[in-house]
Amino acid sequence: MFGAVTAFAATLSVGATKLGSGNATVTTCNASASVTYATAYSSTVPGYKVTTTPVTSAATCSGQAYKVTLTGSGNTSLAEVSGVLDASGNATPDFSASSIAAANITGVSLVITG
Amino acid sequence: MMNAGRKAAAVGALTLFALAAPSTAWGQGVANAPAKVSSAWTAVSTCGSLSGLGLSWTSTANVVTAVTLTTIPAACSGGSLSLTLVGAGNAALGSAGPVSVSGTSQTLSTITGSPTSTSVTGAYVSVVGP
Repeated sequence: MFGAVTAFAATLSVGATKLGSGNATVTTCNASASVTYATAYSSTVPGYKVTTTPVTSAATCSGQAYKVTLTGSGNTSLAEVSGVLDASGNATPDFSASSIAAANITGVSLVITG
Repeated sequence: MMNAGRKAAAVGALTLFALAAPSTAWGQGVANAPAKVSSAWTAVSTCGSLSGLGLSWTSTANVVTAVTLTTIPAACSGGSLSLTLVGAGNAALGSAGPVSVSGTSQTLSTITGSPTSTSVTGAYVSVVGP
């Protein structure tokens, strides 16, 4: 499993005669999340395409925005769906309209922002 | 026997990493509650190639009533398998599943759509998990 981690420190502007100090606590609403897949046959693919990718996180992530990206060969983005996590911290992003062949998916990314 | 395609997708479990979103504090203000951002990527692994599946069927009065799959990758055991029989133009004629994969050979005895055996030109298989 690979995760790209980037942390940006909070910027603090200090005036000539004023001094401020503080720190930003970097937290996450939950340590992990899972993504599953639902598929359906499509004659236009043809083959099985991904319909939904149910996301399960935690109630502490409730109401936060999410974005799921399905990636293929060379880490190219095949499709993205975004939305808001429900009261349980779950969601069911719908990729049906994108007609992504299940066979072409090699990775999935999830971003939760709150 | 007919080769069936395609493919298995596994459940992705992601470990979330916390990111601090860019935040700006002006003057004496201090950004002590930046937006929380969690991000993770995971590979979608496959339980094995399904392109080499063996497929045969039983028909009654020219209607497919059961489909037997062989050479299912052992790693797919416990996954959720769906099958679609197709005809001309890849039109779906009938389907089975989802069912739990229980071994390297499996018979699907509930086929919807009453597909005419002489019209079937191919089959597509999907396994999600395990």
